Amino acid sequence: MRERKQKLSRRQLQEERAGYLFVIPNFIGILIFVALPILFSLVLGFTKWNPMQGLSAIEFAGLENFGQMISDERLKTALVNNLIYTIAYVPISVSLALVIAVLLNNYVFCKVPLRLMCFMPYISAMVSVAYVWLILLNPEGGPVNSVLAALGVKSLPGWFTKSNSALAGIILMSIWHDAGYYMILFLAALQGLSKEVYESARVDGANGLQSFFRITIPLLASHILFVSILATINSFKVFDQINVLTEGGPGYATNVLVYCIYHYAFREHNIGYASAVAVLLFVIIMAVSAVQVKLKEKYTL
Amino acid sequence: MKKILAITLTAALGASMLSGCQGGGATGNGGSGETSQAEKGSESSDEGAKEAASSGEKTVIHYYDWAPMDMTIIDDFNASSPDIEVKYHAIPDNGSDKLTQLDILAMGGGEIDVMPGSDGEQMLRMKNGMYAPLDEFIQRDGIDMTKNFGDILTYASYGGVIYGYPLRSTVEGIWYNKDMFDAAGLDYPDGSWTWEEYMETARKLTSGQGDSKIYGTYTHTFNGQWAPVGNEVSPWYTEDGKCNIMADGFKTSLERRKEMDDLGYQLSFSQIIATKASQASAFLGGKCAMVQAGSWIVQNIKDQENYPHDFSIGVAPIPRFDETVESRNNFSVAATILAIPANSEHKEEAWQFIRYMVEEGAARIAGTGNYPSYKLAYNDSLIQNFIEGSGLEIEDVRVLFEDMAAVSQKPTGLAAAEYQQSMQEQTQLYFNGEKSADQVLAEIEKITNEAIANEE
Amino acid sequence: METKVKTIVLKCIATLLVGALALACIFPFLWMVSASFKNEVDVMEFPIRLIPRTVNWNNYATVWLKSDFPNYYRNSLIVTGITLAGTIFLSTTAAYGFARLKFRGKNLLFGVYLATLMVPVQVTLLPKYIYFGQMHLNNTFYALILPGIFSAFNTFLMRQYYEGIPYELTEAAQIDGAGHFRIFWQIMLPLTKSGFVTLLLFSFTWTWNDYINPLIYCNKEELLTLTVGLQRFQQAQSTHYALIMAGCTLALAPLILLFLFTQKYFIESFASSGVKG
Repeated sequence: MRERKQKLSRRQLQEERAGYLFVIPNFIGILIFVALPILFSLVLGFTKWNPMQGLSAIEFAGLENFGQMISDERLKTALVNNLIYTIAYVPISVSLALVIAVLLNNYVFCKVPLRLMCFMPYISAMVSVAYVWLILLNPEGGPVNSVLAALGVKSLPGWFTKSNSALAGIILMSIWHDAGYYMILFLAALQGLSKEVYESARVDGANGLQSFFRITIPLLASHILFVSILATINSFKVFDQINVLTEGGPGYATNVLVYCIYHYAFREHNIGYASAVAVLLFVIIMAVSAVQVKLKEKYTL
Repeated sequence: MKKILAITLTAALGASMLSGCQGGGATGNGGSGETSQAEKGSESSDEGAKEAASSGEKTVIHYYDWAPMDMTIIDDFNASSPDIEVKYHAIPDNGSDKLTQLDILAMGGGEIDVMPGSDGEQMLRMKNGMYAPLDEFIQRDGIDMTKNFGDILTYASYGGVIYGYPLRSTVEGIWYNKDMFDAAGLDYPDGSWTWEEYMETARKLTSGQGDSKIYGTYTHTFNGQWAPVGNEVSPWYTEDGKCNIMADGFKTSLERRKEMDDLGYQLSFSQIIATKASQASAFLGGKCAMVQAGSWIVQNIKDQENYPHDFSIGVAPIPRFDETVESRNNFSVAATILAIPANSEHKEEAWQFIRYMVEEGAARIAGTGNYPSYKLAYNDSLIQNFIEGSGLEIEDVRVLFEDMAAVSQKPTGLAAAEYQQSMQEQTQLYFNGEKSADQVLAEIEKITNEAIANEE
Repeated sequence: METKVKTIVLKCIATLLVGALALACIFPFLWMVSASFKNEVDVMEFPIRLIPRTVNWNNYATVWLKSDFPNYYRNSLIVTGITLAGTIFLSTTAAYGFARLKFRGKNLLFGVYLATLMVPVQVTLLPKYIYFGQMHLNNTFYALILPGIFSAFNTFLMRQYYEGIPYELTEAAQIDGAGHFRIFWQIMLPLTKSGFVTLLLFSFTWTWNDYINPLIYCNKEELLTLTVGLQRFQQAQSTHYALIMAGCTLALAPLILLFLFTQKYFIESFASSGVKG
């Protein structure tokens, strides 16, 4: 008994040493080249600083920047917009990607070209993507509104030109842009599922839809949560589309958190305050992801 | 096995760290205190740094800009100057990214000694201390700024301190398609025309339907594109230094722009955004008969390869607000300045180059299709340089170089950044029909006055 | 027999459905290629005309010959190649450690990885520039390569795929006395080919298409990469979209090739067994 315990802990010790060997080289690099600059950025959120006066001009300001947030209309709008964006973007893009991935994995002809085509938006130049979406969503004579009009919709949306629909336009475009990316992640995960499970389900008389809900989804649960975490993080980092298409407008209609940070950092040069908003963003993402990570651990054995 | 792994990993890490340091060493030598000769042709930074160490004692200053550049100006300066070497860095003119790039260089202590500031964006940077004051240099050299630059000086100073030396200007008027005017039997406009006449002309020149529609005129979505006519009668600030956006001039000109949109005489604000239309493509593509555009459009007129067109072009001043405005050529004017970042360690050398660039370089700046700000250099040969290859005649554009009344699209005084930003964000909501003119102007006034109060 | 016909019909329907979606997806690509053959004045034409009025090959000639394009291409290949080689090695090994090995402080270390994913790049632009300046990394390829090699995302991604491998497969080897590196090399890597290929594809895409990092940290003329180099065709008030699109089309070629080349690893597995009757 004692002997076995000793042996076990020796094995544990070995495993621990191997663990450090595998992880430490990468970790040191991450720490030096990625994490420390980030830490530096976040710490600035607790300071007042005019960068033109050099590093010595950094003044500790406690929570002063955070106090200012309470009366900041731009930030409040950005926060609300970002939450709407996340709530719409994450479930739709992830489930769309999952369905397409399953179809592309098993149920279609011409898999490779179709996969490439679905992945194209993600690798195409943002300028061309943005332009095509402007055309698609052109309120006067654009294809989308033409279809809506044909369906008898009375008040057609103004999309990027109106406050009440600009964010919806951005969400649509983002889903379309990123779905192919999540699709690839699912495709890779689907390769790991064993053929036998499906075979036996088929023998039991399950049709495609049933095996999707009874086998694919439960077996992919961990991957679905993984992709959801990525999608959530991405949804809070949305910037490029907005910068190219609406520049946060009309009014504040498409202001999101990162756009807000960019505004304070480079339109007002208020680095301290911009960093404080970044801290807020960080805390929000952290909280949401923590829940997802916990859920994921439950589904990962 | 594990030992091999450990050795490999450590070696990989060590190698990457080591090479990181090497790279660092190379740029370190090229640091801000560097002395070097031209590094042209050197493949890597390492070689460049070695060259630098082994030769020349010239002070190197780094100049960043995004406009088309005549490199002979810089080459000539380097040749004629015994102890200064200017290194020019072209950066892409990619909307606001170029400003971010320059801001980070200047704020992050990068190697930058001369930087441009344009389009009213420079006011914020002056306020925040990004640029070094130039008053001492100007006094020492005995420069008469008004004689050199005239009305555009508002773009070079903030709070009474001069931070910039104006390099190139945008002189904005109404460019027109002479062939379309001829076909419609209309006289070419001059500085005496009023808004009413302008609108009537636009109406007459509008023709066709659907995809083949030709608009009478074109007003872009740039911030304050609607404002210069209003600025003829209303200043940007009240006498006690508050926001004056509620004044009649601005309100009327804001409403007039929308009226032209609604009447269909020009592509509407929303459609310009939705179709990513541009002044050059619309006008040179023959889709509108007139266009409100800056002197930079000459670069596009010259560019027959990308903007093929076969009609004659003229330019007229901005219309008069109404009959009460004196008939004296009104143009909307803005300037790009050259400034020295406050962190630069070579301000004296930078200043010498700036003067050379602005003064000696004027004729060659004109050659790149940019309108030089340095008035003392204006003559027929400079104008000829400016329009060379565009098919324009000197007489077509002479009006741009004569005495004019400068108005502007944007405020450049107190709290200019907030004033401009709120104009940009709020007026969209008027043009797309969501808010009334009074509502958006009141909002701009509120935001700006708050910012002014903060600044004081 | 009946079910076979039924599956084929169903498969056709699914193909049509996904095909329609896929067509919508390549529209921007088609527009890009089409714009690359147009005269600048026709690029932003509305309604869209996909077949150019006149086919203008000059855009490609201009991009390739009159700009530093070949040089940009070479720089992008260097940066992407080295980054890829480094990150593949370092991310897969670290991911194995995080996924399969128990050691003290693991959760804390992994927490740091996750945290770095939660800060958008726009926030760190200025602080990172100053920080890299202190390390003399700015305006060298190292400013792009080092943060690219040490990638928290890639580690996170690979960990996800390693976690899914049943423990029975590795335990057997362990009992036979195999060390962890051998397990990683001989069992883990071959079993997670599709994940590995995903890593390759994404890393390549991101490094190749990265715009903001080269713009800020490595913008010396001779070190410019494709994305920033192409921006040179943006000029005062009027962007040369036709030229940019020609450049983008040329830039996209390696990505498409890589995608097609890697696809066999997504198909080799059990593939269509779910429907074949």
